[in-house]
Amino acid sequence: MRCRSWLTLFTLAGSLLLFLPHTQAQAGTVTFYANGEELATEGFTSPELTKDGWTLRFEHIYVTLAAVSAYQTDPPFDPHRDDEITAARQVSLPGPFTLDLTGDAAPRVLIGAIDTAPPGHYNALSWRLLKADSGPAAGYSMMLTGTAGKDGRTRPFVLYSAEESTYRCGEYIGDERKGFLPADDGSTDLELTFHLDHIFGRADRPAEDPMNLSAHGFDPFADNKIGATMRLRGLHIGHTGEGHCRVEWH
Amino acid sequence: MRGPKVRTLFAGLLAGMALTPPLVQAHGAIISRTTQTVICVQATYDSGQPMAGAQMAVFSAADPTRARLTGTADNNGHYCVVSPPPADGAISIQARLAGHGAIIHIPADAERGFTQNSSPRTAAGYNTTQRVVMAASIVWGCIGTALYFTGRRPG
Repeated sequence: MRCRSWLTLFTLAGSLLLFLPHTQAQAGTVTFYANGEELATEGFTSPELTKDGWTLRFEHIYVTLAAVSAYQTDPPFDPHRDDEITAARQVSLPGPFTLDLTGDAAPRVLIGAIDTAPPGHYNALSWRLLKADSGPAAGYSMMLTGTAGKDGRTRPFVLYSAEESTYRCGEYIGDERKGFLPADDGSTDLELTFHLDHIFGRADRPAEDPMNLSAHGFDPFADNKIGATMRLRGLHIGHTGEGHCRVEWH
Repeated sequence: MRGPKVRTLFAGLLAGMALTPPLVQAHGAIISRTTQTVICVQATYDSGQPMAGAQMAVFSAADPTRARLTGTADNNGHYCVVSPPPADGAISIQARLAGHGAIIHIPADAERGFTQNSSPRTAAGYNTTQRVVMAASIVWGCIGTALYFTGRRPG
């Protein structure tokens, strides 16, 4: 009888320990940044003019984001093949956040950090681009202001889009691999990268480059007084570094 | 009479072997074999256009943040790795060109059907104490079960 009591107690204690890895695993910090790269901070300047030869300098590039999430996926999420991200672990910043990609901290603009992230490789990323409720870009998910120039002409512009979308990306691709959060109270960072050349194209790339074929250039907006609506549907602006993302338009 | 004949014959054989010129031994031909794994990838844009001349980098699972090999894809976006390090063969190959890139993960047992070689639960990591206690629980369970049935012996 006594022996069986010990057996029961010991088995229960062992079973409880099975759940400990999830509750007691050391936590680290995952920090999210948004990045419009040099095209946001320096603009489109020679030789990197728009595909139709315009110089662009940006005063503000507002984007509004929510549900910024990082995932540990195995097998790794493939944005070319997979519709949904299936993750063993996930950390999220709910938002919404309205960021200016030309702000003081640009090109890397802090979105936020999570300091209770379980260790592992965060090899997938998702976020939602949605309309801002308030602030300078209220009513729009993306808004660009600045000055355009071509052939001696200079004109201010305001371009905006109210389209909402969800980006689902695989691993960050760049000079270094990102997203590895060590178990010993470490930190890592991830990046939501906005490729503005997918909107305006690039004069220093071949005209038949797939990006140039789909990009608007600036000519369609040049004859508007100041404000014009951009149609972003079909353009792949969001990346993680150089890594591709699947876009779902809402 | 037989003994001296055998000894003479044996001595003759030894002498013949000793006098055989070394040149004859060099005529032996040996083929040795080593088996190498060759993994080839093709990097393309999603339009299907090859990423000609893409920068390629090979990472091992053991040291995933440092490229073990780097190279350049050919005009068709092809890039091959011979005997990829490390010994377990699990590698990731990254391709980058003109601001776009992709990475492919190739498990160690890719040749047997691309099954995964890691599990999320193991990745979470039980510490040594937890592993010992779990093992002890199993052993004690067996002993306890045996003691239980021993106690029920009819008598």
